[in-house]
Amino acid sequence: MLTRFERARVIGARALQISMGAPPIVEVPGRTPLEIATNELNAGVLPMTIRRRLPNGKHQDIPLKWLIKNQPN
Amino acid sequence: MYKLLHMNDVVRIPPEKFGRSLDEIASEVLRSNYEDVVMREFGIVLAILNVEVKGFGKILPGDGALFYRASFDMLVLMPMIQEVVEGEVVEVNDYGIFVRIGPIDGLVHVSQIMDDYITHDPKRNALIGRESQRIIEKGNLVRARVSTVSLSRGGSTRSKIGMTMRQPFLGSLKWVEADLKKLHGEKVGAVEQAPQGEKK
Amino acid sequence: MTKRQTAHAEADDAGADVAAAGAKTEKPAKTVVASKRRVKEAASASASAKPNAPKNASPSRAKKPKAAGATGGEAPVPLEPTPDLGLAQGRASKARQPDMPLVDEVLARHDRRLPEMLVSQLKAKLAPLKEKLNEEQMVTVVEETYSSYIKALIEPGEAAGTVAAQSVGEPGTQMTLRTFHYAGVRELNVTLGLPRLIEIVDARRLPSTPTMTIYLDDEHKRDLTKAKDIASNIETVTVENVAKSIGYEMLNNFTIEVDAEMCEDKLIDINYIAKSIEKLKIPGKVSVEGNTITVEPETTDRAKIKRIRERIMDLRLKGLKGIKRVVIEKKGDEYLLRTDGSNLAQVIENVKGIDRRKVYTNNISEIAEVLGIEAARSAIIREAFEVLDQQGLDVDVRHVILIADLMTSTGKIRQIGRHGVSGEKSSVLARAAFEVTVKHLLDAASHGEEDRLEGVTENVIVGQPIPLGTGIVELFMRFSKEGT
Repeated sequence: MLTRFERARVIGARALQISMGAPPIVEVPGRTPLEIATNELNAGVLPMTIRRRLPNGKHQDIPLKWLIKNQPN
Repeated sequence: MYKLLHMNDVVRIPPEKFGRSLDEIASEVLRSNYEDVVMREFGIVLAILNVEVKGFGKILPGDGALFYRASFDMLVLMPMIQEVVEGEVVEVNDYGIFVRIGPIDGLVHVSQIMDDYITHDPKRNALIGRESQRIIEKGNLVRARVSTVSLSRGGSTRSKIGMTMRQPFLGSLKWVEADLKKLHGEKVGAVEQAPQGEKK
Repeated sequence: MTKRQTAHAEADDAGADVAAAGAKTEKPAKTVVASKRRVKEAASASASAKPNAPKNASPSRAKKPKAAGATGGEAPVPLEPTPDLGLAQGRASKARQPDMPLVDEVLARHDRRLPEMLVSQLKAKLAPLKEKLNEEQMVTVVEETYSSYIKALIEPGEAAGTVAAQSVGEPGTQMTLRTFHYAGVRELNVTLGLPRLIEIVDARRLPSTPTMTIYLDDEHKRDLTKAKDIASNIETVTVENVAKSIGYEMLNNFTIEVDAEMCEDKLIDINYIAKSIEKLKIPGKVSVEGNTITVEPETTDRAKIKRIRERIMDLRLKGLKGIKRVVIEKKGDEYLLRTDGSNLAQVIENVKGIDRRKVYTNNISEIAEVLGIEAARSAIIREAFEVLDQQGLDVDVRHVILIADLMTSTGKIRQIGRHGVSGEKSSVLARAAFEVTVKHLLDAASHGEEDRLEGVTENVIVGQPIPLGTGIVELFMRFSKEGT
């Protein structure tokens, strides 16, 4: 499950990339970079990974694909 | 002195370049970052080779670009004091000659060309030793020793290298040859002299 | 109560609430042919009743500030609980649970990400409804419980510490204007309001009005005379208390006239007083004559005699050190004692006829010494929350819990301030931002200290994104060969 911060960060970063000229990964509907980024995330095609840190200093790299699977709604 | 350095660095892959192969973009970015750049500690960067990108690209807040760790080889020229170099004379002035030693030209001041009184012949654009009648002109191959190095971040055009040929076995390669023969006791052949006609 | 127990106790309430929501579904099921939609509506109605009844709904979020608290309130913990934790608790409490295979089955679909205490509460609430709910309805209730729990979790990256600080700080500003002291229970005066809150947060060794509440055991609690007996054993009686007058002689002696009534009331014999004075081992003579005690010190130095007299006046004849007064109070049909002054160790150890488990003091550092840090943590929560509650300030307990966790996480009580939490930060810049900036910077410079820029304050200072919220997310992207 993505936290709302992670979700915001992923969509924000991807929308910025698109607005800076990155090509969309797959054909998704949407006219603005934000719409495209949101749809890409929901489609589960973003090749991103989130690093989550534990208080003990260890960390775990979790692919975005895993995280969006258990999203409620 | 030319060096091949193995470097590790972080390379920024801008979003507008997405869609091509990563290695290609990375070496493009690295080349535009480093080639023809003068680095005080390494010298003049001539080429970026064998770019290898590792792992994931990190996305930093406020920038859509990916930052990758990359390793690559960097070919540099680092002129060292006392180093002996050879090169072609590319320019002759009344104050000295410029010798091309790779990506940069080094200056041999008139006072450092030979143990002789030197005059500049503007017609031939050559420097002539009064006693020895030895001549330096554009196109000659010479051997010189680096005496001062001043690298500037402004690039290779702003960097200056001073050299000397006023030591045994330095100077035009022809003189060196002659000096060597003399050393080995051979008969001194015709030392190249200024054509009689021009000598008044 | 340990940390975990507190958290679960609160989580339990949440379970009870949601289960109650389930119970509400019972009605439509009875009257109408049960439809899934109806059950869902009923369940979600009670779930969405949260804003109306924040007190009931909020405890379901209990787990979270907790998790953050254990790590100093700054480093978040990932959402997924460690699997073995859940299993261990499961084994422990399985025995008492009603057998509800359906509930287990539904929860198994969610990797059992529900505290075991909550699960058993849910089962207990659902078991009697087995007949009234059909399978579909039962599943809906469990699903609803699960999703309420998940929704109530705080997300990693949430600024739980900042929110807690603000939630306590803002009402604090209102308190300043309202009250400083509040007349307490009857004759006893207890510091309340902002001064008390400051006292707690500053971790003062001695509160300005230490007080204890002592409950009596079954034998004594309904009998006023027995209660009075215990009270008189606890209350300090000094010579001064029972003296009617003190005679000043010009020579090297002085007399103490004892108040016979007082002595009777306090059950003290005049000879006992004289004996106690003798025990002080003052060189000289002590003699009793009627109601008068004469003390004749050997010395003739007037200043010395004055000091001796003061020592005798303060001599404790009876009671426990530090307890100045005891008041008997009737609560319901039982008597209990309230004291002015506190001596937890002595009361627990030496006083007979009391209910030791219920003895309470408002002296937090004393609790830490006698009962340990976990007890102190609970005391901080109770004291601070009581102050806020008494002022009618509706602050969620969990903010207070977080503060208590922060204060006690090292095993010692640390104050929130220069000599505690703020002063012990590892970052130079964070410390300098708090107080005495120049001193911290100079010290750090002369020691060659390093700042890893890991905290929030440091990054605000240097102008970087702070590690909170979206700033805590570390994002990576893989670049496929074909290009992304």
